[in-house]
Parts: sequence; C-alpha cells; structure tokens
Amino acid sequence: MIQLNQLKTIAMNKTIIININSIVFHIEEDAYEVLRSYMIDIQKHFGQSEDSREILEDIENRISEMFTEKIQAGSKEVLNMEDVNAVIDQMGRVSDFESEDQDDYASFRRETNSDGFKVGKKLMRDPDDRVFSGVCSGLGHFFGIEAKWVRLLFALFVIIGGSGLLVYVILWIVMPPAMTRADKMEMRGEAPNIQNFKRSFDEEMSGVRDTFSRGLDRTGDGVTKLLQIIVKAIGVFFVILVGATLIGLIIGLIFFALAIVNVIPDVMDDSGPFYLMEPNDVPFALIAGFLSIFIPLAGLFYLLLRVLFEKKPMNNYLTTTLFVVWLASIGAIIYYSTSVAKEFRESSTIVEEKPLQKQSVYFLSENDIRVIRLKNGVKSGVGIKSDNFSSYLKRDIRIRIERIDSLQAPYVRYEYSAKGNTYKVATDRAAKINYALKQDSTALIFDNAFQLSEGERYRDQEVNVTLFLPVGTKLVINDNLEDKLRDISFYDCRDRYNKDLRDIRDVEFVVTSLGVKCALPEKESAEEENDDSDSNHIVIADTSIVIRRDTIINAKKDGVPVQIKKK
Amino acid sequence: MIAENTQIQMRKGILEYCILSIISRGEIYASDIISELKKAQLLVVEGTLYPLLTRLKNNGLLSYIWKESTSGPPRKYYEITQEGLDVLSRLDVTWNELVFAVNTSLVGRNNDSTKPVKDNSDE
Repeated sequence: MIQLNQLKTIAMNKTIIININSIVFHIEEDAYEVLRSYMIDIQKHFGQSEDSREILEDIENRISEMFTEKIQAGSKEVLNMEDVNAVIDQMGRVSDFESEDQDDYASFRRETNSDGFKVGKKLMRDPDDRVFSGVCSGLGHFFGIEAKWVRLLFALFVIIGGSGLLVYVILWIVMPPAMTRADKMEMRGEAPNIQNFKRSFDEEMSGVRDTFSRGLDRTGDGVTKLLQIIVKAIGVFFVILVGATLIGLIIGLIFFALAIVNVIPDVMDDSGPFYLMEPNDVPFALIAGFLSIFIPLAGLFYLLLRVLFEKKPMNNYLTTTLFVVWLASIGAIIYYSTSVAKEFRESSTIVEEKPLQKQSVYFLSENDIRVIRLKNGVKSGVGIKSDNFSSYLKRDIRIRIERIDSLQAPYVRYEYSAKGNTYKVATDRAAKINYALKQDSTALIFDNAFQLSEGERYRDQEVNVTLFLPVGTKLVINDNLEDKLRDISFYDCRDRYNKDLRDIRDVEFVVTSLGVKCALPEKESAEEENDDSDSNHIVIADTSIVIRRDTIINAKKDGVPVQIKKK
Repeated sequence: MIAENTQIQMRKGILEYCILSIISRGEIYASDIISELKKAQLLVVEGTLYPLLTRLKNNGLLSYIWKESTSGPPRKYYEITQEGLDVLSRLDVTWNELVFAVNTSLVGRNNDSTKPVKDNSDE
C-alpha cells in the first residue's frame, strides 16, 4: 500500500528534458519553472549586446557544469528543486549582481553602448498614457512626437470617412502593450540597462515622466510651432463642428419628444421610422436612437477636448457605463427595427366589386377629406384640419380605368392590400381599410385619402380602384385626380385645348375600344366649348357672336354655326 | 546608503586587484577563482564574476583558452597578459600606499584592525 502511494507521487512528478550548452538534463517541472524564470531574469539584466552574450554563455556553461556535478555526486537522473536552488544560490540572483557590481556593470555597458550597440525603438502601446488603448502614445514614442498630435490626426481621420477607426483597430491588434519596465524603455528607445531601469523607476515614482515629451516639444522651432497652431485651429474647428452636431441632436430629441406628447403635430404624420412603430415603443426607440448617435459623438467631442486642452481622462467607470449604455441602445434599435420589419413579412389583398349607376357621362373629381365644406357644394378654402393623431391619413390610392363592352353594366373594383407578420393579420388589416367612391348621379367623387382606424399603424396599406366602364362613356376628369390616375396622359390632352394650361380644370376623355383617349381631336381644329367664362372669348349674347384668339368671327344663327377661319 | 556606496566602491577596486593577483599565479578556471575569493571572504556569488572577467578581458588584461573537462563541457581557463602584469604591478604599488594611508589614519583608534576597511565605513 505504502509502496503504491510512493509510486503515485513519483509518477505525478513530471520531468522535462532540457538542453543547456548541448548537455541534456532531466529536470522536474517545478524546478524547471524556477530555472527558466531565473534565466530570463539574468538575460534581462545583462541585455542583448555582444559582450553580454559572452557573459550569459559563461553563466550557462557554469550552470550546466554544476548540474553535471550534482548528478554525478547524487548518482541520480533527475534534477529537482533543491539542485536548482543550490545552483542559483551559488551563481547569485540578479539583485545580488545589482548591489555588488552595479558600477562595474554600468561602465561595461557604457562602453558597449558607444560602439555598435544601437538601441532600436519598439512599436508598442503605452498603457501609462492612454485614451483607449495607448496606440497613439505608442506611435508618438516611436516617431518622437507628442501623443496628442497623433491622437488629433486619428480623430480627424475618423471624422473624414472613418478610415482612422479601421487603422486604429488594426494597430490595436498588432501593437503589443508595453507591460514590463524593459518593454517601456524599449518603446521609448532607451537601452534597457540598470541605470535606465533605475531612472525609469524613479521617474515613475516622482511622476516626472512627462519631461520626455516636454523636452521634445521644446525643441520645436518656429515652423513646428506654426504647424502646431494650424493643427490646433483645425482641432478647434472640429470641436465646434462636433459640438454643434451634439446640440442639434439634443434639439432633435426635444422636438421628437414634444411630438410624441402631441405638442407639435405633423412630425410623425407621414413618414419616418416612428410612424411605423407601436405608439408605446416610440419613446424608447427615440431615446435608443438618440443615445446610439449621441454617445460616440460625445466621446469624440471629449477626446478632441482632451487632446487640445490636455484634460484628464474620463473616469473608467463612466466610460464603461457609457459603452454599455451605447451597446444597449444599439441592441434596442436592432430589436425595434426587426420587430417592425416582421410586420411587413406577409401581404394580403382583398378584392371587392360594386356596381355603378350607368351614365353616359361621368364627372370624376377628388374630395379632400381634410377640408370641411361649410356650405353644400361650395368648396371653401377655410377648412379645419384634423389634428387627431391616432387616425392617420394615407394617400396610397391608385385609380385605373378599364373598358368593357358597351352593353355591359359599369362597375367598380376595389383592391385593399396591407401587410402584417402573419397572413391573417395582414388580411384583417386589409379588411379594416375603409374606402369607397361616392356616386351622385353623374358625379364620381373620390376621397383623397383613407383613414387608418384608431390604433392602426402604417403597414403598407394600399387601395387600388379600377373603374370598368363601357366603351363610348364620356369622362370629365378634374385635374386634382391627376396624381391618382397615372395611366392617363393629362398633359397631352390638355395641350389640345386652345387655352392657357393653367386654366384647364376639367379634361374630357372618352372610353374607346383602345382604352381611355382624349375626347378632343388632335390639335388644329378648335373645339367648341360651353365654357363661357373663358376670358379669351368675346361673347355677344344676343347675336351669338364669339371671337376667339384664332378665329376672326364665329357666328351662330339658330343653332347653325357659321365660322370664318383665320388664314 | 552612503555607507553602502562606499563599501561597494572599496570592494570593487579590491575585487579587481584580487582577481588579477589570483590569475597572475597561473591559468585558472572561473569557479576556482570563486573558491579562492571565497577563501578570502570577498565574493558571494559567481554571477558577479563573469561580467568582471569579460571587462578585464576586453581591456586586454586577461585572455582565456578553452580546455577539455572531464566532468562536462569545455572550460574557459583565464590567464594574465603582459599588460595585465603591468597593471598588477602598478596596483601593487597603489595598494601598499593605501595600506600605509589607512594604517596611518587609523592610528590612535581603538578598533579591531583586522578589518579596517569595513569597520571604518560602517560608522
């Protein structure tokens, strides 16, 4: 039993094979870790020069020799912690070297520094001087310029097309952070020796680290000073720009907020994202949208201020909080937009046909439902507009005219369509659309808009009205229907009237076997018009003499027209 | 702090002098130098020795040759150069002067005179 336990413990000690100076040793894992960190310490202490390589070689040689002795003396195979510690004690720790031969080593270092041993700067992020990750200060160290100018440059490139952002992220990934003191000195291009170590440490303690950049700043002559002033001016310009944008955003927020509580009408009347949403969601979506733009801009603003006026970096907690809030607002926007988009997944159309009274002439006109007629038949300019927000007016109405055989009865077909997240919802929604033309003997009156019922949102509701009229039917169409009747060329027909285009309110068409055509013949012959109010005519009532622009005399006697045409 | 600095300065000069003296007796392996120094209670760790040897070698006072070893890798054996001997003889003169100077200035003090250097600086 006991033997088994021992075996277990032996088996659990992992050994590692190492090679020091081409001699192979078996070493226990924990002992190896100690030896390794010791060797790294020593390497760091002595640096990278030709001479220190020799020193390191000597030390390695000696260590391998001592290990060999240990193995021979103990007649064993594997080096353990005890052996490693003994060797380290004999060789001495880095701290021992520092106290013992500091000056000696330093003088040696000084010599090697002067000949050949060039210290190259390393491109690393500076975690001590950072706004986000220290990329800019790292670049600053590398190129020997103050970090704030690099930051300003980045800020500018972020504003102009956002290219700076990509570069920044790449550099962030590529550049390692300068974690150790040796790293930091390499980053600044100082030789990583004891004096510099000491100096760097002292500086860290007393906080005069800035002297580096200050010193560099002072070396700038007149040209660089001028350049700095220019860069600063550009910076101030951008501060103003970003600041103005922020103020604009706040004003926009207030404006929309007032619109939500119905203080300002019409903002949400027709289009825009909020129009599509459930009313209860609108305030949240508005705030989310605001924050998603405001936070990054505010961050940029603060960054610019920091760079220009050397402000303190923002509290870490505040930065984190703002970032989390921003992510949340982005999430909310995605949520709202997908839920709204879902509402448009299915579409449905309901078709309804209704007969029309048969007439030989129809007068088509539009009725503006927002205008309230004060007197019957008199269209008054004084109307009361509906300010009820929950009933939205939709103008997605199209009217078409199709011909049918002259013996068939005229009828009208309505197609109501709407969208929804399911087919059923879409159908229900389409059924809720309430729109129909009104026939008053020969007059066909179309409302200019239909209303969505209370609580309904815009879900692509549409109405298509098709009039099926027998061939030969005359149509007098008021020009306020022009935008609903896109298949008919009003312009062409209006052109055939010999009148100022602006004076033509009603245009005459005929349903032919080829479709709806202008009732007037093509140009040249002036058509008779009953419109007596036209100012281009001179009408003498008793004798029925009419003088028009292109005729000299147009006389009627007992209903027989006598016309003398202008040559 | 001041005491420590003085100690280091003193010991450093003497260390170099001693190493040169030890090597001047004939070619010698680094770890043997250590054991000699330990006998003289001068050096504590080996790691300090290597930079010093390298510097002396670079200054032309020492040279080394590789020798096969029975118990491991080939060893570096150091020996003194003519220049090193010149320096050593000059250091001998200086040392004698220093001993005289220290002894003279210590006269009349009631201290243990076996380790005058250390005791003096510890004050």
